[in-house]
Amino acid sequence: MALWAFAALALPVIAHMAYRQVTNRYLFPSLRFIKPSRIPRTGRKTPTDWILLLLRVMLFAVLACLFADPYWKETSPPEATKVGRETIIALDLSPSMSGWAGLSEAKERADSLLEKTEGHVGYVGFAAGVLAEVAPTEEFGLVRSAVANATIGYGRGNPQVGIDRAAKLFSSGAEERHLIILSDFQRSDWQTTYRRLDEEGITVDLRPVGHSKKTGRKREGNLSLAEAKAAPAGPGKVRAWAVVRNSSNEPVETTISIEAGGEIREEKTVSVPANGATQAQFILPEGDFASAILKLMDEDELTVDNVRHLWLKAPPPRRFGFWSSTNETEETIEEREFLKVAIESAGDNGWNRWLSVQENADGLRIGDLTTELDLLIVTGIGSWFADEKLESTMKAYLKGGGIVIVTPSEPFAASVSTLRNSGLLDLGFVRVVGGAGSNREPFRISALEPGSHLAKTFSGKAARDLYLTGIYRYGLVRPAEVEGISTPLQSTEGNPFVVQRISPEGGKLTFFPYRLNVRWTDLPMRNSFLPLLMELVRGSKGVIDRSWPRLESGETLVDGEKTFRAEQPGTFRFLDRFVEVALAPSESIAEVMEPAETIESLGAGSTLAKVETFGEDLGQEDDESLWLWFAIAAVILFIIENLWSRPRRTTVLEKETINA
Amino acid sequence: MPVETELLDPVHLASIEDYSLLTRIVVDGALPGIHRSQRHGRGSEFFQYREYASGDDLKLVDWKVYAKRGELVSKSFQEDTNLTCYLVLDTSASMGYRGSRSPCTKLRYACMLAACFAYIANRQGDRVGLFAYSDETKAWIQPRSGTGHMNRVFTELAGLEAEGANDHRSNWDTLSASLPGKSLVVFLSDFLEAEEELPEHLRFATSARYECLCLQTLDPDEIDLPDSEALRFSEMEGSHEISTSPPAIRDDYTAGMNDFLDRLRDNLASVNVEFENLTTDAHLGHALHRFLGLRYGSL
Repeated sequence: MALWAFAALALPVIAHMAYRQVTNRYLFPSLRFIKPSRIPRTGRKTPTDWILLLLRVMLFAVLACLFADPYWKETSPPEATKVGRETIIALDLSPSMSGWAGLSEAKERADSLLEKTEGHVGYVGFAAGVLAEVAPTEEFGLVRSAVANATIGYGRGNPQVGIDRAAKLFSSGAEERHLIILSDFQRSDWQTTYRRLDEEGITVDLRPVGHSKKTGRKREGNLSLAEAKAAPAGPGKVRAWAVVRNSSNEPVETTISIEAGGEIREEKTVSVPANGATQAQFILPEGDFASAILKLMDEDELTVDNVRHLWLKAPPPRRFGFWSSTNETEETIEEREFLKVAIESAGDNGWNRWLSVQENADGLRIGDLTTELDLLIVTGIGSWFADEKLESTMKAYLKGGGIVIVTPSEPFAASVSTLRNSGLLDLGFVRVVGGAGSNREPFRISALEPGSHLAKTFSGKAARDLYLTGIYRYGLVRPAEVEGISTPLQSTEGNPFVVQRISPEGGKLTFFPYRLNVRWTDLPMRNSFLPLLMELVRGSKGVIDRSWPRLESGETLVDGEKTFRAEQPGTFRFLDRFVEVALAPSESIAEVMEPAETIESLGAGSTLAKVETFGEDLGQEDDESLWLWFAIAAVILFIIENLWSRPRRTTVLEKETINA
Repeated sequence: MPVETELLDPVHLASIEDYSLLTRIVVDGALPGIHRSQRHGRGSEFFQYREYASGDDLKLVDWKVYAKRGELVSKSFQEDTNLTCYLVLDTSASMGYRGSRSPCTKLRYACMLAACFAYIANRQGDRVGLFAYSDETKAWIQPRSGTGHMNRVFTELAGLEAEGANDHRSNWDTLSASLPGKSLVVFLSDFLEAEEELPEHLRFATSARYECLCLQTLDPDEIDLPDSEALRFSEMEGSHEISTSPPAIRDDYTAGMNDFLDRLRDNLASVNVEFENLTTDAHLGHALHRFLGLRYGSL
């Protein structure tokens, strides 16, 4: 194809025949009788000009050869080439290769390459990891068989693993090492791949496949189910929600169906804008079906991303419980009951729920650390805590990432000394501030520290409500200045209103130096209380999330000693959890790498690396590229042409014309 | 009649930088006998005897010699000519032009002629002065005679460079105010665009005391344009530029140039100024003859 560039030979000839002389400045005594005139368009007739024309024609011919990238056919004896030459075929088996006929084209090309390759040949098939490999061998049948049996992996493509493995498979004694990569070079997979193979003496040959419908950097014709979720839709109903993405440059109308209980329950036709997405929703009765399958009914270039599996079962609620003295005061009971109602109402009516499970809190109290408890609230901490020797259990709970809220009891000093002596929170007690007189002029919360996650939550009206909070009494404490202890809420005088200690393992202990009732503060009565509480109990790993795990193919879920490895998309049960596995959305991305970008990543500047444009004839892998020689010839001809056509000086003041 | 000899060919002479040598080659080598050396005749100082020729004034016959030897001899005296030869050179930038057909620039050609004129004049006992200018006076040597003076003139000529625009008016005013009586003024220039202005400045030539010879030095390119398909002409004494094709405008240019030369010649003739047009590839002989003819005619 590149030899069409020889047509460019006509350019210098045409230019030569129809050129217009361009003149240099010519100093002349007087322009009095010189009038402007049309510059003649003339062809060259002198022998010197013909030599210049010949030079230019040769220059274009050499450039055409350079772009055609011709090869010097090796004529050395077969024995010499067979010994010491190793070729490894690296086959991309990421899910995107199943589209645009990528895998079948890759297999055809691999077979063709194997027929023409000499020496030893090896194979690496890779997706998220290395799926299969054959060390370089003379037995080509092994490689043929591996290629023929290659199937698409489910994990998100990770070419780095495949390239690294292929580089290691070459034997150290190999005289020539040649790596052929058959891939669609999908951008999301390849953009971070990097290894200077040229510096390791490995020549790289890139063979893009599955690009039959490529427009620029993008392939056409893929629709994908980019997202799917289930959520409650009112009493007795569940909503299945899906996002359909169109990667084409044209809008597409497609049909999406939901299958549950072995039958298609509903179909909807949606119009998806070009390079955009649209949503579709289905309402199903809650409890009738455990799972559903969403499908795009129309065939497209990549079919593996046309299906999504999802659970229709509600996830378990987040659980919380209380510890308090066995001899609860009325104040403690009132506080506990209030907090119980408040926290349970913090979740919505749907699947994001809080549930008070006191038996789990009691189980923890007697030392059962396996019990499920997302939040522990200690109301009215005091000497009873030390008496029951609960500090070790709480420390273990915090070490396991537990979240604890603590309120004081009276006397306040006893609460502080319990926390300090147990090693849970190193506080110094000064005095209890406020009293009956503070009801008229309560203590206020000072401005939140800019940039803190509380400041992000409380802005505008929400912040105004928080700053109007009145605190009538509080224990003035001085937290130790040690790592992990902070005061996210402070009074306008700078005294702590909330003290937090975050353990290195992620556990969080939050201490309010006042009781959460109206005698100490109106905070529990305010709209900002529950958001404040939820922000304060947010773990270091984020909000406590009880929704079902959703994994991408190739990811793993660990629970204790058990591990779940996500492979095929679908809905699975892992211990007491319902797991959804979906294909990595990045595999649906239609954008592909330009060959030059990949060459840059795998060994830019290598004179040995070359790129074959797709659709070109296979073969010639053993031949030596002549592009460098043609490049040198082109440079030499260019220099000669420049020297030949430069202006020549004939007199001191005269400048001769230059012919463009 | 001009002397056609290779020694007067500017192709050869242009390579001689020493004007003293150049003038000896031209005047003593190529023009032997074409000029009379010092003029002999009536004068105050005896010069030599010579055989009596028929028609000689009998007052010049030395009768004492006749009495002793019985031969008729006439006495000759060195004549006091009292003539000043002023050489005026235009050294403006346009005089620095040298085309592909010319062996030297117009200024160099003019300087060679001026050196020869100075040498001849000095040999004949005339005082020689030099005045060179462009936009300002570049060289000004008051008229004198003698070998040392000649060397000074030659040195000045060798140092002249073509630069600046010409300003005939102010420089001629300067020179006219100091011209001595009975002078031969030789003006070497390309006279470009001066056919109307210059005759006014040379009006002094109408006086019987002065002779003026204008030698116009042009490059052959200025007569019929350089030989090139297309050129972007730029004025040497300005910034004006014109892109054109010389073959396309050659006829019009030549006609315009000839018209200019005719008008220049006529206008100079109207103020009694001799005019000669020279190209820088022409032998020096023609110019020398014109100079000698005028020199003797002025006596």
